[in-house]
Amino acid sequence: MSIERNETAPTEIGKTVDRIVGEAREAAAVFTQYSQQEVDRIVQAAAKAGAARRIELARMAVEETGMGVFEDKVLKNLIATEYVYNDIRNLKTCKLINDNPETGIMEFAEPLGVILGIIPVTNPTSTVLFKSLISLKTCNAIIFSIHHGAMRSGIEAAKTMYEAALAAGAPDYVIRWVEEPSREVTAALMRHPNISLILATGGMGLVHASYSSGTPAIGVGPGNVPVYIESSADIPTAVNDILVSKTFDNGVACASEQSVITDRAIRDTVIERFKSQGAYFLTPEETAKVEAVAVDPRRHSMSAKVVGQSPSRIAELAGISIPQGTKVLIAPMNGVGEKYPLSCEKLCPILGFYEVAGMDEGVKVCTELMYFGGLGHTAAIASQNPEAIRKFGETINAGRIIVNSPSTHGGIGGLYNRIHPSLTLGCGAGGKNITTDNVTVSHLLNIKRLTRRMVDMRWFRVPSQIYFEPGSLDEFFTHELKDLGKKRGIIVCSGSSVKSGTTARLESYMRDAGMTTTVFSDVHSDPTIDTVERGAEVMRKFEPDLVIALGGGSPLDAAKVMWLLYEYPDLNFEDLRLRFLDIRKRVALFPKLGRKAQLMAIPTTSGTGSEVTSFSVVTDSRTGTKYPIGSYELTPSIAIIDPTLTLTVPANVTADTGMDVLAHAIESYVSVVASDYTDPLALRAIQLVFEYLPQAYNDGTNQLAREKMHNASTIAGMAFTNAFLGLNHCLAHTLGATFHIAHGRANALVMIPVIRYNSTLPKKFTSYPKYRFPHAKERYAEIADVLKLKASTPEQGVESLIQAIAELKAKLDIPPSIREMGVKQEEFEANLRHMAETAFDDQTVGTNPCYPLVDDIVALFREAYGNGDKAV
Amino acid sequence: MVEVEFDESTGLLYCRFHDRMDSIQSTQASAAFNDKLASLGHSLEGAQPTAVTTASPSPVSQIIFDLEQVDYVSSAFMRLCLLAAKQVRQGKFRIVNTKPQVMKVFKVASLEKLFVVS
Repeated sequence: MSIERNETAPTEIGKTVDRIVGEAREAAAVFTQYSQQEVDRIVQAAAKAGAARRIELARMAVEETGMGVFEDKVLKNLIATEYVYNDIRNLKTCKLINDNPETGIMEFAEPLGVILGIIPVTNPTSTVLFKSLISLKTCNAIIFSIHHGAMRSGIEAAKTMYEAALAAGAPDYVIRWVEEPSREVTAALMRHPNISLILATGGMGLVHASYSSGTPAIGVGPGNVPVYIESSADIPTAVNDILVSKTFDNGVACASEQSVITDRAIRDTVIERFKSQGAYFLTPEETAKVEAVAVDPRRHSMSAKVVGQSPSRIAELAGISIPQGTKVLIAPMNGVGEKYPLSCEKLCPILGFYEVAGMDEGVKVCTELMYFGGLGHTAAIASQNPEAIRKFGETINAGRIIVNSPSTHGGIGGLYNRIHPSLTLGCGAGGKNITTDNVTVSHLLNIKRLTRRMVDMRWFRVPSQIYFEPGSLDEFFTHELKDLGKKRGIIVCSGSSVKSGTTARLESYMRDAGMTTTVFSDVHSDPTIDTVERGAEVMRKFEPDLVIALGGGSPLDAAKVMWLLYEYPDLNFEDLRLRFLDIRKRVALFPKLGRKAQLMAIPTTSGTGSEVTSFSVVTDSRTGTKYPIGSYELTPSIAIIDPTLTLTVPANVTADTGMDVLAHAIESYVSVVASDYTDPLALRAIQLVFEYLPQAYNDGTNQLAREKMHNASTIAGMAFTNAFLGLNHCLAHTLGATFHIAHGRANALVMIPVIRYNSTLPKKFTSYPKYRFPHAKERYAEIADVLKLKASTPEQGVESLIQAIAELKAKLDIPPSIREMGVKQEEFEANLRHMAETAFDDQTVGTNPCYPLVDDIVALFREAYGNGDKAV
Repeated sequence: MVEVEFDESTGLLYCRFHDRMDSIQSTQASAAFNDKLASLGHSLEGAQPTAVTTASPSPVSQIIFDLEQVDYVSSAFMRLCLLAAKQVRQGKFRIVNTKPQVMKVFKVASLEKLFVVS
């Protein structure tokens, strides 16, 4: 068990340190087995024993150190035992300390091991009592390294705590101390590999040595506490608080006020009150004499000989005479810094005094003082003005900002407020410490978090009203429209809906229902940002309360975003199109829609499913980039699925849009977020497509086929707006945009390679808590099964499905490969890398069963391009 | 609280401990352990000095502490282990079959250089 970091042979110091640390280490080891109940019994016994000896220990401390006030040290010992004990008694600090089923997190406490507690000469016994309690409570062993000027009283306090702890069942050696302290011993302890943490309460040299030792350390910083008496302060209380605080233990507490700053308007009253309560204001000559003894001119900091001394003693040293019973010496000053020696920290009953014009100057002077050796420690304000208090707290850099209370007692905590009672006060970055906390139990534990796998709540969100059947359009507009109570309706569509007479028909119905109407028909395929903004402008002028989106995917998508921009003209388009991993945790939130108008969607193709989805795709015409915008806020409230509107759709459009439906359905079935709610919809849509799409293609007037395809489109939309899509659509988006291939056809061209790819074992896994392991192959086989294809093994199911799709494409006269679409190989290869990277960046890639590598996407595109010999 | 068996042919002293090795149990176990060693003619290293005798080699060359039945170890037990380690050469004292929380105690105490715990 030699000290690993010292290369020299073990010296006497080395052996002593090894022995002490070894003992404490053994105690810490045995302590790991204790239960909360056993620990709490030990802590209570120690607290009682410490409190019982508070008077003796206080007397010993004063006699030994020659500083402070006996009666005040008694109070400190009581705070260190009773108040600290009360603050920590019910805390759970052993083994399982918290189990939260809602977050699925269990927290366990792990003790640190052996703590090295540095004890300062200013608060020897109270700091020993305090650190013993928090160390015992957290099942740690502690070794005390006590300032040589307070050895006897410090060790006596340590013995008291140790004996009580042992008697209550604590492990042997749980509290240790160094009998013959020296710099070398302390340094050796700090560097010892078996010390887990240094609690460095002491001067800056010591704190710095702790940080440099290589052992984790919690240090403290110096204070230069300003107290600002603002003009609304209750002056008698403020003055009393300052005197209580500054006279406590003759001002040795680092949290005690060092300077008083007061508004000019109340200065005289403040001065009078101070004088009447026993403060003595120094003349300039007297100030100079006090400076000479209180401040070390070389180091520009307080001199040791005044620390913790009474005002009369200080006056004696300085050679001035003061009234009998003076409690505090006050030195008026008008500057901060080395030229004003008494503006520094003086741990004795001397206060600096400043007058300021008002709040702003007050805060500035306080800031100057804090920066002169007290940053991050403590500051105080006496005020009845909540705004002044808040402003003070906002600007001043102090771990403790004490309001209307003595800053010593306030900083220590527990007495005048609810912060944790502690004798180790962190100063944060300002003091080059790791924390601004009042150090307590929580700093002596390592929390272990056991996290169970959690699945987030999901949803099934579709329009609340979906009407279907041939003729539903007329029926709804004749009988139901007026019940909506709308007054102003705008139809968003493309030119073809106007030409076909549909808009006129709808407008007529709307007028019969008492509505004013207008039409925006300037929507073309691939709606642009420009179109959308123009439509929104028209809406802002017209102020509709009903927006009717009529047509294929483009008018439906365009209407959604127009509606959004109509209701929120200040929206930033850039934010809306941001990518997200989880739609609910996205960075840019969508506002609630429906304040001004409801959205009704009437599809005339079968289709994009946009009438029931939360998505919209808008194109930036300058760059050609397509932006999918997704939010459940965009879901229309009402959808009308009337197949009679699709009777005149040309065959090639029927085929393309029908393949889009198939892609939607298949992708939402194998998506990692597929659920029991979307699965039946997806499967049903797939069945309908295989059965009815060829019929609708061959004979557009076949009403049943049109009806089934129209329903399939909506049903697939309901599935994918909740289960999302995948790689098929990622590839189709970029392929379609690059080579101007219709969306549905582009989906068809990549469908089979994507299925093959998804069916293989993923190279990269998609991470989603509900998706337990890859099973896309089995899912494709389930689809094959539902279609009554051969699927005795999953592999066979996949092949059967692929074969069925190839046959379907042939029936629809869709070319089997991109090559056969007429795309030239050189052009294809030239765009390939860019397309693959764009596809990878597509929003829909996240729910694909395999997380694709860009090279994989390149390979997929090539396979879809076709090399003539493979059947795609 | 402990059963001690000695195998003359191998020089192995096998000690099986039981239950909660708190201070009292550990003290009693230590006494039993010391007595057994004495009865085998082994003079204790690191214990109170006894009257000088002519040194004769101890028959005990290995010691194993079997803690399978032990669910808690106190400081006094740790001291017994340290004492046992001193009675044989480095590497010849082992602690076996520890329960996880007892193994943790030996790990935290950082005593691997003195003896092997499994």
